[in-house]
Amino acid sequence: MVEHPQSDQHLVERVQKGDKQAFDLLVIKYQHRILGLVGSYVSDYQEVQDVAQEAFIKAFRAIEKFRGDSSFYTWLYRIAVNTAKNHLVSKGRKLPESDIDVHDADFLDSAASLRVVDTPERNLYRDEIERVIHDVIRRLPDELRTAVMLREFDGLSYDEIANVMDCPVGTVRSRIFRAREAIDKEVEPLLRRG
Amino acid sequence: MSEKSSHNHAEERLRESLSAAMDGEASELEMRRVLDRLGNDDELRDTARRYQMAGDMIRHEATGFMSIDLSAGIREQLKDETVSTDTNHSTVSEKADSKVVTLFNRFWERTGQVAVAASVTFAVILGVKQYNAEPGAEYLADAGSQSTLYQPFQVKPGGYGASSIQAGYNSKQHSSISSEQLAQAQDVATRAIRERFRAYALQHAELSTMYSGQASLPFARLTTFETQ
Repeated sequence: MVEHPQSDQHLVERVQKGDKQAFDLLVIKYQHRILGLVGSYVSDYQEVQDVAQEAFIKAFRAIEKFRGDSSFYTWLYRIAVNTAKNHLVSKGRKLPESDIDVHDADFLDSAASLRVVDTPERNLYRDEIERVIHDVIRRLPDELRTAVMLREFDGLSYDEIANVMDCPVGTVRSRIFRAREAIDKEVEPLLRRG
Repeated sequence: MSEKSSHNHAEERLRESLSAAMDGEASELEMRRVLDRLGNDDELRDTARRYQMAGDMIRHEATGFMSIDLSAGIREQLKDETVSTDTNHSTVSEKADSKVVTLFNRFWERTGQVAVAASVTFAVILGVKQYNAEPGAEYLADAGSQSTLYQPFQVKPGGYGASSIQAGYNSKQHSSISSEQLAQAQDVATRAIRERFRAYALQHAELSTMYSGQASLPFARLTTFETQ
């Protein structure tokens, strides 16, 4: 998983100062990872959502204690794992023998979520969206493709990408946005249909 | 540029700000603008979710939950809650920031007070000047309306001068303005100044975004005064 700790720090600080909208953006960023993580502990589709939601609520209530010693996602991950375990205990279910390491979480999340929620239709639908996205990326002009891949795949900051691509930071920002827009233009109709 | 294309251009700039905000690369002003809109603009929220989903798919991290959105439910559950801020844990930089913000707030508060005081003084001077100018104006204006206009002051013959007008003004007008009203006026003026500044700052951010990605950075700290 590519983490962008510095990109979350600003949002976390805003939440700590009382800006709830900033927490909203953090939820949008991490909800699917947390759902996937909880899905590796809890096997019911509806319960996964409830537990994941509870984890976010707990994170919000405890966020003033977050001091940035780890990344926000690592901190959130621990809260989600504990919430999922407490849920299993409360339901009298068996806890897993070993915890999932945060660095392995995404790999396992995918496998677990496949087990919990994927039907052949959902699988096909997701594959189609993924294929469209990779197809759009292949067709992007070089400079847009490089910028968005360095950001999304390698997790570089805009400054780092500007150094690699030897262009101003403002150009990097614009290229990443244009790449995202190009992808979004193709993906949005698919999601509407789905 | 037509109104529609101007609107589209503004929306596009907002999405560019969103894209940068999601990467933690937006300026403070842009972040404010995006977060303000995110709370009540479903389209922008959907865009944010799609940007995130595309990133997850590029990294092959998409899970089977990609069609689920928890954010609305979480927002609803948290709507009556506030973050309990623990000031004992503030870092040095946070304390320095808050000091700057406090000084900034004080500056604007005082500017507001000075502006109100200046406005009141100006109004008094203008009033006195107008009354002083009456004899000359009397010949130019309609006699009927003049008598109606100046009736309340009842200037005595022979006593028609600055001092008598001043006395009449003080006794009738000054006593009608209570300290509470003055405080309210100050409050309104302060808020108006803040709003105007905010509008200027946001306008600046928008223009900065249009012409260069980083030009709004020097103003980033300024807007935090509103959050205090």
